[in-house]
Amino acid sequence: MIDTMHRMIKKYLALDDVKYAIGYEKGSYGFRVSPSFAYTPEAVDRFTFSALCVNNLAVYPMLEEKLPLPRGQIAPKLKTVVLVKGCDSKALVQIIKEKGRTRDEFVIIGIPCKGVVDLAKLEARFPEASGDAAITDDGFVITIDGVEHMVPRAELIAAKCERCEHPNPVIYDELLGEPVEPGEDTFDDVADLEAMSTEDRWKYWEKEFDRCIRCFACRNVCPLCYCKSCSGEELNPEWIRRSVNISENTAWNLLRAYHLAGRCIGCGECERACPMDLPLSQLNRKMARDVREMFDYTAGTNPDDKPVLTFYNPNDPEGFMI
Amino acid sequence: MMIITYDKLNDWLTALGNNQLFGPTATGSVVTYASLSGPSDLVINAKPTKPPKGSIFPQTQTLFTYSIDRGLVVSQSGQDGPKAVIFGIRPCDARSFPILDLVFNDEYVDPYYAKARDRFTLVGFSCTTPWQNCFCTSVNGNPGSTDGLDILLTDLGGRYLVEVLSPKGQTLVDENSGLFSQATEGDRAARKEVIEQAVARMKRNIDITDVPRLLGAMFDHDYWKQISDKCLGCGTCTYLCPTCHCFDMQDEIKGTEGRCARMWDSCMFSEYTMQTSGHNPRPARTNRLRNRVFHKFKYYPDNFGETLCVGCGRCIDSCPVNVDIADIVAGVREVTA
Repeated sequence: MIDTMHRMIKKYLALDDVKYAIGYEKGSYGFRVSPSFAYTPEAVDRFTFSALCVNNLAVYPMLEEKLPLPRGQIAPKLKTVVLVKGCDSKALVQIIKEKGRTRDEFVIIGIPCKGVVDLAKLEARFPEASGDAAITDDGFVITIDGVEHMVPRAELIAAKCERCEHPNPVIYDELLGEPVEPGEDTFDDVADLEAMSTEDRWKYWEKEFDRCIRCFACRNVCPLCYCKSCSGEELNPEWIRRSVNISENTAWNLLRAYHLAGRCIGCGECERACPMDLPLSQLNRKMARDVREMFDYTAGTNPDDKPVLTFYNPNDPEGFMI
Repeated sequence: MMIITYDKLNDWLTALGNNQLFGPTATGSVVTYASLSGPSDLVINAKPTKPPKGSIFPQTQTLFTYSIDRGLVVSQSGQDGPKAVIFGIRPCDARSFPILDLVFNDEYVDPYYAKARDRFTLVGFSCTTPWQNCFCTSVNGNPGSTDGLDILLTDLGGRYLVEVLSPKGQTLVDENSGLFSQATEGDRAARKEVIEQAVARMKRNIDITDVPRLLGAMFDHDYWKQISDKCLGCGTCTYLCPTCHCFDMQDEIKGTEGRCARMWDSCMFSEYTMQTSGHNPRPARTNRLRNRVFHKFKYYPDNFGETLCVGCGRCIDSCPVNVDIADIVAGVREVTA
């Protein structure tokens, strides 16, 4: 599959209107995998794919800085080749729906995905080790120094993969691999949260938000957080103070969850990126579950419909109206 | 040199409770340097996710308060506090304080920093087994370094060798002298061996000789674009770094009362050098990542004679996209060869 991927991407890179390709390459230590950027065909040879490829590469097109050009010069409209798993592809769909980008700016290489590892669990299971991971129908094969270790799927799989409803890319120009059977998301973790009393829930989140250091890793790793000027950093008016305390931390995390309501595609990168281990997925999934129930809408799944909070439907729930 | 056994160490920790006591401890599901209420809180075999700089250089700190109720009244925030101990600080983390002193406590003295520095006693544990991304020996550090410490403990199996390095350290030992015994020649030799083994176990080694000069010659090199394409521009590396110290100051006003507070800033954020005109001399991640590497491996050495990195590896551990500063610096030599 890797050879097919290399040939495919090199073919696109050779075209005049393609600027670069975004994929994965082996990381610098342990089991890490790094995002990889190929501007030339040779650089594509570094690209790899495995169950270690946890990153959502769809974050990069919107991170590209559009720097001022000399007067009269216009930036050429060039395409970006981007590798996406099922979950990642939903981010591109949502971004295109919101007109953050247009469809023709991308060459999307979709990879049907059986699941990726939870890196923290893998590193806890094989501390200070480095190697590869593959996922099969029977579970994970972790290869360290030439030795293969079989590990049951449930012990290493990322939580988001257990409930993945879109293992196959929702949007693509090319597909690398056979379709995978989707699962079902019953939002059990959200139900657990809702089962808590308001007081207990407040105490729970207070304990979590207390650890937040406002590094904004959650925001910067998120493909759907692409406001040029983030309201969390605005000074005039200062919606959220820069000081780090429980009040501002709570405001930040709730604000981000609300701004992602109906937009978050559930890739879980925020939770993975958080250095202080905040359970951020829970917040976003509560929003996603509510949006699904209220508006029968799931972000990033239908390229043709409008973003859910941008239009009014007479059938919208009105339970809050007196 | 003295010796303290494992269980006497617990007694010592309990006795030290008359100070404000901090050390590596579980904070939710991560380990950080936080308040210790007793010996059972101490976590020895994990690298704390956050460095201890927050104890002496807090993430948010009131500089002064003011009210305009009856004319303007400004009150400088108190800088005094109780005696405090950080117990179980690693040599790399301890080294960060003499390095930060060069900015905050040297030619110009920051009273908030200086007073905090004064009231803290640092009791360190030397490292017997470096972690995956440690590279302290590459940046003038050592698993048994005493730089910045008041006491260093080295685990010799069943007991710790206790090296008292300052009057502050001596006080902590004298106050509990019954818990300690004299070290022997054998103990000293064992310490030497433990540290040598730790150095040999260091997995990452980079050569930083002449790096300030090499960097100076490659400011405009394409290398900086290549290594920064994947950087997200978040503040994880800077906030988890023991030596990063950029800060912002903001006024927080409510009604007629307010405070001026200092809080950590990050050179990785997009508006780090945003000017009021709207112009930003570092508009792209490549400018800012280059600046970070230069600050740590060129500007600080040029200005203060010290590398602004202690090789703790936290930025490498926690970067969501595997930006690896050790690899980046090693690459500088290859690219300019």
